[in-house]
Formats: sequence, structure tokens, C-alpha cells
Amino acid sequence: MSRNQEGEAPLISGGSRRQVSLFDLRVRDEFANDEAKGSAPVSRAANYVTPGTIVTKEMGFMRGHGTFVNPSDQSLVASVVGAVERVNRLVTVRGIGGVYYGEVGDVVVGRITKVMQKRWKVDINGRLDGILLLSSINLPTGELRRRSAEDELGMREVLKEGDVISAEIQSVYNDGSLALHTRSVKYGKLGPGTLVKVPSSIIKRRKNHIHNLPCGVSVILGNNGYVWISPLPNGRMPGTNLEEEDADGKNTVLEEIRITKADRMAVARLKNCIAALSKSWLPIYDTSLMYAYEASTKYECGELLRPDVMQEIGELVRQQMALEGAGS
Amino acid sequence: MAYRTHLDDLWEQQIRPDGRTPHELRNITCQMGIFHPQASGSASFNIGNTKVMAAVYGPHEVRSSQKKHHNPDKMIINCEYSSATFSSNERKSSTKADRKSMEISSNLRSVMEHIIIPDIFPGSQIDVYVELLQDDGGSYSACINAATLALVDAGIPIRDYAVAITATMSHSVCMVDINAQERGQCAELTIGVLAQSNEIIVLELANLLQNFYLKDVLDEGIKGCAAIYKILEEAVRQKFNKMEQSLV
Amino acid sequence: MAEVLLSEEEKYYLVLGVAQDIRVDGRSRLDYRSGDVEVNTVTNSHGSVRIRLAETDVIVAAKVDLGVPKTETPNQGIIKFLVDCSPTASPDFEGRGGDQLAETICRILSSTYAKSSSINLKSLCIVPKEFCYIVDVDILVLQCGGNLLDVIAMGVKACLGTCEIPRASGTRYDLGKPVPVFSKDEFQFDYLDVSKAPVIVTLPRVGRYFVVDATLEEESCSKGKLAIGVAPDGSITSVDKLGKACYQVRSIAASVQMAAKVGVDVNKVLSDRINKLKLSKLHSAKPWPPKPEEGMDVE
Repeated sequence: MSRNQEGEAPLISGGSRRQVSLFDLRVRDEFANDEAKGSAPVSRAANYVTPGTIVTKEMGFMRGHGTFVNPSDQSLVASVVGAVERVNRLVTVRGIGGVYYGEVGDVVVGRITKVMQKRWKVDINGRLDGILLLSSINLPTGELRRRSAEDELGMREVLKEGDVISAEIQSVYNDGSLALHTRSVKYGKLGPGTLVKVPSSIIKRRKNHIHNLPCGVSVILGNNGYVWISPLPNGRMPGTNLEEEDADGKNTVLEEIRITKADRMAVARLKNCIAALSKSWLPIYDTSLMYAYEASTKYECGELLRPDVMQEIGELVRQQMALEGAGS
Repeated sequence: MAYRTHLDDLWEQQIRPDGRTPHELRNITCQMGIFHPQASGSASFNIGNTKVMAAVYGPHEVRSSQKKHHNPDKMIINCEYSSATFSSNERKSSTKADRKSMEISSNLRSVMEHIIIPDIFPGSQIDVYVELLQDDGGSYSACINAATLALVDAGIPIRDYAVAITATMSHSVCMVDINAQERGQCAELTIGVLAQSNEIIVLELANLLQNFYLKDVLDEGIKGCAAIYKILEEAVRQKFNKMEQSLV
Repeated sequence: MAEVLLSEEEKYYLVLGVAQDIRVDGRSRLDYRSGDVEVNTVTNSHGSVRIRLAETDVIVAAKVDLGVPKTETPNQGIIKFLVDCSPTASPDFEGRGGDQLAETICRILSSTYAKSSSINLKSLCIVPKEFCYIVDVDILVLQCGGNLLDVIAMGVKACLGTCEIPRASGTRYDLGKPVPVFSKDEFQFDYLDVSKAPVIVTLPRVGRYFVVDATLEEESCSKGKLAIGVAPDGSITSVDKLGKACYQVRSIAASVQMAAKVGVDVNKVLSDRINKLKLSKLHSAKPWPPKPEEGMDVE
């Protein structure tokens, strides 16, 4: 299908740890279009709308996300691309991609951007930074008490700029910013691992977003599109939340954490699988991840970065998901 | 007394110097998501040899540099237009933004403010960056079309599509989509409209146009915008179909 | 460069991975990501190339103009560089934000191509002391995904290699001064010989090891990097130290050796692709609109 002129096979192939580099540069025909226009069959969904299309002229509907009221004739008009959904009197347009709004109960992965008085600001890929109050975290010592002035001064020792955390959305403030909390063993500061960013709309909403996969890695699929992959259970930095077992009053030193090569390969493979799923706009959840992981085993980890390999994995996963859909 | 050339012969048959008929647009290709996933939304819009790329970042928290004068109930729309040094036939020798770029930036920003639902994200900031790669006439209107597509790609709620085209009257014939060669010889009217309501939001005239021609040229331009809207909408629908199949 | 904020834990994971030769995306220290290159991106330039390596996306365009040679080099043409970081790559590049980065890259490119060993500037001279070609190479950074300097250097080599220099068919004399004559046939052109032009291999130091083709995260974990120019025959054309790190003599020597090996491979693949691009340009006089042609793929 591709009109690209493929580059030659890599100069040195085979063997996982090569001595010389592997450099692959393809030549694209100047008129080639790798988006393969026209290959997807045009299915005109009946409730497809585009910005500016009138959704309804009747009165009495509440406007949800993706719609707005035209002041001149009070009709409800779509403001994003997507499918119209009506639930009782609430009309929303479920857009593909777009802004992460955040709902109470969502599991998110975020990065601390600022340490302020009694709160941290967290980048959660939303239109505003999330807020993590000092009172919304479990104290490192595990006590249950009011936060004191000393706690305020010691905030940077608990979480500083750049740290990655997993949290749950507690509530939504009036201005739309999200209040987070980490008051559970599952949440908190995340230990050695890597962060992957995908569009928030392809993270499928499930009951469970923190998975300890059989391949030996844990993955946190944040509803906000930030995904954390780590060889540690629950992705968490051990010793930062003393409600876990093995609490002996000491924080684990980062340098003492040992990560095996096999774990590293698994994390890298999973990271590339997530990128492949994201590129093909496939939903990401534990099952699709496992399909992708299995489909990727015939390639070396570094080869999974090639666009043609990513596309192939996307296709295989799509087929498997179709089978699963047909079978169930 | 003007001498006749072969171009005048073509004009008598209503063929323009590049072979098009007066109402024919140049070949248009547009693509969404060209910088996915680094930018929140992106698009490229090519009309003939005029090529524009646009990227949208956001909405995100207002950056500290703007925070001091920022009203937390308002949304900031930040727009910057830049043209590549190789975009015009006469090469630009510096990358510094000149006055023309700054003027186009602020005009584009007001177009974006027209279509983005006002204050839908209070306290947030949306950045729109437009880069002109090659200018062969109609660059400002191409920038508007690319920026609109990029906003749709980012999923930012907008009232309507902003589409734009150039039109003129020459040799007593209304023409649409002026290229660089024709631009030197006749007036160039850039018209931007809101696609569904046909309200004019951009109007710029370069060179001389007789005022009794203005209404005809405006009508022609609005028809041209409708054609552009169809093309943009088709591109958006294709993207939606591709993604809709994947998302259950 | 647009710095990425990372936590201590992420840095620890990344740095230790580099030491174990398993980077975050599974590559070894000497692996490149895959990319592609195409020509004729901008049709109003004599040569234009768009090169992508993973997320990094750069357009390089060359325009050829007539000019007067510099007095100190009357037999040579001139190649000038200009780098522009577009804000589409990052909001940090808005306004003058990308200027410092652009200056650094521009300086390195200018010094690389000022040497006659890289490119035969004499071939750009038409009439000594009077007329020469001035090639203005403009680089536009559309997206930055790490390893920007290397990608730009590859793009420049590809662009100069596929740039159509008009052929002067002779000189005539106008008031006693020689003036070049150009043929009316626009298909009479020459390509520059880039067979000796170098590529640049940037080696950021992550922990105690060097990596090739670093991502933005890996560059954030490195305090400094070495940018080494490598010619196709493996000789080193330039070494630039960027950043704040300090090096021992033996680590510089080791990294230069590594860069030489890597650079030879990169040059080989790149030269091969440049030849393919030149062929595709010859075939590019196609009817519009384009139809997919099966037999076009030339291996």
C-alpha cells in the first residue's frame, strides 16, 4: 500500500547488542502521503456533527461538553467534531481527541510543576494544572494529624518540582481546576520508570487503571493520557507511603533499587507498544496492551520504533479486537 | 494603446495564465495531525504552491510571563505567524519578525478570537502558531484555513469554521484564488467568512478595485469560501472516520 | 533546547539503563531511530529537503544567487547558513526564544562547510574575482524531538547534494568585463559534489556513557555533549564541546573513535539516499494530479 521507496535493509542486522550503529533512512516519494488518504471506508455516522452544525432547535435541552447556544436563535450548535449523544435532556458531542476535562474518581498521572503554600500544582494535561493540597496526601510517617507549620516548610522534601505522582481526582473546583488526592496505598510518588504521553481520549475508561502485568512491569493508565510504566509494583516509589508492608521507618534510598535487564526490556517493549497503539488511534487498556505486547514479540525492542512495524502491530491488535468483539 | 499578447487571446476564451478558468481553485491538499502527538492539534493546508503549516498548543495553564496582567476569568489566545526565509521568491535575509508578520499575527489572533467560543476555558491559554513555507499568492487566506483545521484537530470548541479565499475582478471577469503571478496585475480581495452563517469576518483589499465591482467580487469570494469549506470538512470527516473505527 | 522536566527517579532509571545498554525505548547506545527524507518540499528553491527522524522534523532549502567572491577567496563560491526555529516546534521558540539555539547550530554548520575538504567551493566559482554562486541554505526547524544538530547536518548534506546549480554555458564580454551566460534551457543544471561532506554525530554524555541519537529526555539528563563532524572516509572534520560537562582526555578520544565508526555508516546510508533522491527528481516531471505508479520504486 505504501508508495514510499523503502530504504535498504539495515547495514548490520541480527544480534541484539550491535557494535556498530543501525541507521535507517527511507526515501519518500515527493507526492507520497503516509496518511493513506481514502483507505478508510467513509462511513457517514448518522449523528456526526462538525463545529457550526445545528444539533437541535428545540428548547429545553441542557448543553453539555462540545455544544454551545447560538445567542441569535437559541439553537444548540456543535462546537467540536464528533457524535451527538443524548442522555435524557443533556446533549453532548462526544469528540475524538481534544481537551481532557477530568471527572471525579479518575486516576491520573501528573508531574509537580510548583510547590506553593500548603499545596502543589500538578501538570495533568488538562486546561489547568491540578491542585494537590498538603492535607490530601498521606504523611510520610503515616500519622493521622493536622498538618503543622513544619509540614508546610518540609513540603519540598515530600514532593518537589519534577516529581511524578499517581493520584485520584477528588473534586472539581468552580473554575474548572481539579483537586487531587493520594490518600491511598495505590497512589503517591512514583519510583524509577518512564512516562509516556498519549491523547487522553484513547485511554479506555475501566474499573481498574493500575495494572501489574504478567510480563513483570506495572503500568498506570492515567485517564488524562499520561501513562507510567515501571518495573516496580504499582509503579510506586517504595517507602514513601508507610501503610505498605515492610515499613521499618526508613525511606528507601533511590540508589538501592536494582532493576534487571529483563525488566528493562519489558518496560521498553511496553512503551513502544503504547506508542504503536496511540499512533493507530486504538483504545488503550489492559487487554489491548497484552495483544500489542504479544504481537511485538517477534521484533526486537528497538525495531518497534519503525513506523511500518508500528502500523503492523496496530493492524494485528485491531484484528484481534474485532475477533474478540465478534466472539463475545 | 496596449499591445496584444498571447495572454489576451487566452483571456478572450476566459483562460487564466496558469490554465485555470476564472472560477477554478488551484489544487488543494490538507492534512490534519501532522505534528501529532507533540502538538495538541496541527494541520497543513496547501493550495497550489502556497504551503502553510499550523500548530496549536493547549489549552494549558497560563505561562508565568503572561500571568501578571492576566484576568482569571478570561482566556488568553496567543497567536504567532512566521514566514520561512525561503517562502517568497525574494529571500528574506533575517528571521526576525518584521512589521508585516506582527500585523498578520494580530489579525490572525482576532480571527481566532472570532471563532473560539469566548472564555470557554477561563484562566487557560491557547497558543496558535502558523508557519508559511511557500508563498504563491493567497497566503493569508491559507493561514486562516490551516489555523482553523489545527483548532479542529486539537478539539478546541469553536463556533464555526473560518474559511478564506482571495478574489478579484479582471478583464471584466470575476476570478477566485489569485496566485502570485496574477497578484501583480489586478486587485486582490481577501475574504474570510464563518462557513455556516456566511458572515464576513475578514476583508482586506490590495491594489485598486472599482467600487461598482465590489459586490460581485464579494459574492464570488463567498462562493469560493463555500468550496474551501467543503474541502476542509471532508478532511475532518476522513480523520473522524479513521479514528471512529478504532474507538468503540 | 526545549528542556524537559524529569524527576530524580526518572533520571535514575534512564541513566542506569544507558549504563546497562538498554535505553528507555529499548535501543542500544549506538542505535539510531528511523527516519525519512524527501525532496522538492518547497518548489521555489533550487534545492529543498524535508528530513524527519522520529519526532524531529526539519526543512532545508537552498537558493542560489549570483554574487561577487570574497576578496580573500577569489576562486571560490560562498555557502551561507541561516537557522530558524519555528514556534510550531515548541512554545519556547516563540518570538526570540529559539535564537540562541539557532546561532549555535548556524555557527557549527558554517565552520564545517567553510573548509575546502568538505565541499569543493571552487565549483561554485564562475569567473574568478568577478562572479560566483552564493548558496543560501535556510533551515527551518518544525519539530524538535532530540538530536537536532545531527538531523540538520544530514538535511544540509542532502539539500546541497540535490540542489540544482544553474550551468553557466560560457562568458561573454560586456564593456570589457566578463559576464556569465546561462542557457535558456532550465534543465541544464549541475549537482554539487557532496561526497566528502561530513555529517555530525552528537554524543551527549549520560552518566558515564555516550549515546547516539538522544531523545529530549536523554539530553535533559546529560550535562554536556560532543558534536563531532565525521567525513565519509571516517576522518574527523570538527569537534565541538557543548554544555557544562568536563571531560577526561581518554573519554574524548574514545568518543571520537565511536563517532567515527558511527559516522561512516550514517554517511554511507545518507549518500545512497541522496543518489536515490536525485533519481526521483529526474522522474519528478509527472502529470498532475499524481497517480500511484507501481513501477516507480527503484531499488
